[in-house]
Parts: sequence; C-alpha cells; structure tokens
Amino acid sequence: MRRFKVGLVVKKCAFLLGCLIIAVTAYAESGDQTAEAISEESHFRVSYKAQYDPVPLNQIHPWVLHVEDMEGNLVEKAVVTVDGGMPAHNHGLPTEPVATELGGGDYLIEGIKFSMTGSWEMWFYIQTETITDKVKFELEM
Amino acid sequence: MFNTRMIRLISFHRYLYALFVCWLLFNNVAYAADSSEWDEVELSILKMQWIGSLPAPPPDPSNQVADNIDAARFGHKLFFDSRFSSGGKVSCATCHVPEKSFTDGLAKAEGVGTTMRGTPSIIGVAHSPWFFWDGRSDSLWAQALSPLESDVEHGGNRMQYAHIIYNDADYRKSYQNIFGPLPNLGDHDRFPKNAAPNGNADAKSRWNAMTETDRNDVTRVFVNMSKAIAAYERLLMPSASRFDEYVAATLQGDNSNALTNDEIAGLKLFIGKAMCVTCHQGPLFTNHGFHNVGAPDPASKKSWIPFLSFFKDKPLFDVGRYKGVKEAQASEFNCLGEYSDANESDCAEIKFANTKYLATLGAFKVPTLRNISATAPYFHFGQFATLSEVLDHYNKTPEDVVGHNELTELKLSNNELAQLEAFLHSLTSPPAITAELLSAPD
Repeated sequence: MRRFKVGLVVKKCAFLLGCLIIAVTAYAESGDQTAEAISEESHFRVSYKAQYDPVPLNQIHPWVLHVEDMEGNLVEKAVVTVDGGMPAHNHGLPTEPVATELGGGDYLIEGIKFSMTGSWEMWFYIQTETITDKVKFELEM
Repeated sequence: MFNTRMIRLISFHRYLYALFVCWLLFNNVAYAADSSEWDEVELSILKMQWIGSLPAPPPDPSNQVADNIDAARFGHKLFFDSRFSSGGKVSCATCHVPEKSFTDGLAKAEGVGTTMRGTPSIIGVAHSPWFFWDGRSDSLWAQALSPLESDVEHGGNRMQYAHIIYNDADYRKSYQNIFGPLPNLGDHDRFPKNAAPNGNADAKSRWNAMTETDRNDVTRVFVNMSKAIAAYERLLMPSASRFDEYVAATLQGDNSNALTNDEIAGLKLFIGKAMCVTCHQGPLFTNHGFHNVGAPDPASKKSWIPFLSFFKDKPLFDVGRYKGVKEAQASEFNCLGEYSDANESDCAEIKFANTKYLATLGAFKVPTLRNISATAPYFHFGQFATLSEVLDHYNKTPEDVVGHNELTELKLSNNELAQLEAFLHSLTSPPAITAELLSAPD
C-alpha cells in the first residue's frame, strides 16, 4: 500500500514536470524568425526570414521568402500570393500581405501581422509559368 | 524487546506518517497547480501583461504635434470645452467622463442625440492603430474629428469651431504658437458663422459657396484642433493596479498580498483555461484587433434582416469592422490623406488592412480591460450590464449572430467564473497623469 502511494506521487510529479518541460519548449519555439518547408506537391523548397526574432505579436513587419526548386535552382518571376490564419478560431490574417519579387529567388512579403497568441498558419501560393503549388508554415505565437 | 503488538503499532505509525507525507506532497502539487505558484511559461505571460512592460506610446507620424506638450495642453482645454457643439452643452468629456475611466456608463452615448454605440474608454488609446468600435479611423486625430461634426454627438460644424478658436484670445494665441497663423476668419463674407461639407442643407450650401482655398484653410484648422486633442489623449495612460503590484512582486520572487486567493485563481484562469489572454494580451489587456465574439444584436433576431442588409448602403444590423475598414480607407483624413503628416511608408496598417468579408463581418475592436470595473455596460452597444453577464456569454458557445464568431466553449464552473470576475476587478487604477489634466481647466 505504502509503496503504491509513493509510486503514485513520483509518477504524478514526473508527469507534471514533463508537462512543464513540454510547455516551456513549445513557448521557446514560438514565433521562429526562420523556417524551411517543402511545398505541398514537392515542387519547391521554400524558406522565410522574418524581420524580427522572435516574430512579434501585433506588429506589422515584412518577411523575405526564398523559393528554390527541388534541384536547388532559384525560382524567379513567380507570382506569390499570401493567406493564413488561425484554424482553431476559424479566422484569417488581420492584414492582407503583399508579395514583391526582389530577385535571386527572394520575394518581399509586406504587411504580415499576428494579432493573437496561439497557433497560426501562413500559406504561400507560388505560381510559375508551368507549376502552381503551395507551402505552409506553422507558428506558435 | 518489542512484542508483536508494539511492532504492529510502530508499523501503523509509519504508515500514518507515510500517508501524512503523501498528503503534504499532493497538497503541494495541488497548490502549485492552482494557486499562487507560477511556472516559467505563466511568469512570462504575467510579465507580458504587467504595466512595467508597457513601452512609450508608438509615435504617430500622421500627427506632427502628437508629442508636443503645448499641443497637449491646448488639446486638454478643447477636450473639456462645451462651446464646441451645436447647443453649447456637449464636450468630449460629456461622454468620456474622467471619473468613469473616460466612459459614460450608458449603453449608447448621449450627445445632442443618441449615438449608435457605447463610449469606449480612451485610457491607453495612444497604443492603438485603430479607433472606434469598428475601426473606421486610423489615427487618434482622425477619430476626434468625427464626433465634432456628428449630428448626434457634438452637432456643430468646422466653420463654427474655427470661429471659436479665432475669437478666443487664449485659444488663438495657443493655436498660432503651435500651428502658425490662422486664416482671416474675421472676414464674414468669406467665412460664414456655420458651414460644413456634411452638415444640414444651409451649412452645406454656405460651404459650397466658399472658395476651395478657404474651405481647405478651415478644414486645416479643424484638423489641427483634433491633432491637439489627440496630443492630450495620448497622455492618458493607466497607472499600476493591484494586479501590477502583484506581478511586480512575483517577478522579483517576493510574496505579495496585493491579490486575494480568488483573484489569483482568476488570473490563472485568465491566462490559461479561459483563454482571455488570447485577445486581451499585453499590458493594456487588448491586442487592438477586431474579433467576432458572437455579440448579441437585436436586429439579427429577424433572420431576413442580415440577408437584406447587403443590398443597402446602411446595413440594418451592426456589421462592425466590415464597414469600418472601408470607411477608414475612403476617408480623406486617413494616414495616406492630404491632412496627414505621415509618409506612405508610415501607413502600413491602412495599406495592408484586411477588408475581406470573412475577416471583418461582425468583428469589433477588442477593448482594454484596464479599469473594466468602471466601464459598464459592456460590448459595443452595452448588451451586457455586468461583468458576470459578459463572462457567462464567453462561457457558452454563442450562436453566430452576424458572420462567424470565434468563440469556443470554455466549460468554466460557477466558482471559476466568480474567480475570473474577481480578478478583473483588480485591474482598476487611476490614470497616470496629473490631476489638473483630468478635469476642466480653470
């Protein structure tokens, strides 16, 4: 009986400590300044770099999106459009960001803003003369 | 030495002792989970909400006198002066009453008539990029213009107001020191007593009879008086509340009696299970954003009205930000307009504002919760008389009223709701401004 009780305490403490570590880790990863992802149909390797580290809450700021094909060639003259939001709250971005090509596979994305804490998604739709694909980044704010 | 009975007795004592240790451990764990112990994540959120994390207000490039103290002193006088109204009885302070955290205690504001919505608090308003419940202005000075000429608020007109400034020696001197010379408003052939582009038919026809240069000069005076009022309003910051006192001590690792156990439990819910901090985030307890929280709208109970409303310029139910953002973008007084002092690059909020139907329909500005005890009734037209009613609304999953509401069911117990309400009362504090600026000047 005694051994059972002590074991339960140890397990409970370990569980709580685990929860705390997980929570701290998730928080530390929030709003990463850079990330890389493969587009949904594996046509593009895409990365972004936000102006600030970490990505700020409630502040309009730009990102630079870098787009390459899977062989590492720069993707230029693509039409990039932006969408995003918080699936858990079923709403989009508070702003309508706009993409402008900078050259060298880079696209300036102006007007990004995250207005709430929680899980956000950013979608970039990339359209070249021959290919249309999209890529998703997830951020914990 | 010990007989079997004694050995059993000692074992039983050990068993009781072990039970006691277990009770202590469980008790401590429970205490850590729901009382005044905070983990690292919670502490970082407390710091985010703490008044000590409130930076200086962001600059307002659209208002070159935004942080000019002479303009703020001039604006203070204008704010409390009821001559700036059609009947001489309504000032900005009529609805923004300092003793009520710059609100008026009414569901819908009462100027010379009854307005469409309630008076929001203007404490900490310098930090907001958008103004009015529906965000139809993108600067504090542009916001101040609108009530001055509204036929249900101040009810006057810009020509009348320019004359008041011109004919008051003190105002005239202050104005000219800050903004430069006034036009020669003593010439009544050029500048009639009352005239405005949006007033009654007489005022409109007199306005249209003026030269374009004179009209622009008068509008410039009107804009400048609003920029002075904005400079005053930018000074209205909250002071530390009991919540801030508690957080300051907690961040230092000290004990604090500033909050009761119920208030601490409510704070824990606020930043956790109740998810209030998702939108009421930062030291002003607002993200300055627009959200649809399923606020009741009496008009929407008639199911055919929302449908019909899209065929009218003036919707029959309150669409909130959906209409507000379009008005802001169309306004000649926005950040990009000729009366703004900003460069285009300073105007990101209005350039990139989301105007889409799904993002804006039925969305209203998130109000500050600082001094929430003093600002009843609640929501944009005072739908809820008490904080308890507000919390009850959030605790359920209200049906969509206008557009899609973002709320999820919270499943808070009555005790938890009471704790949350107790915490909200700890956010009360006077404005951090000298008393002379909180009442009409002598």
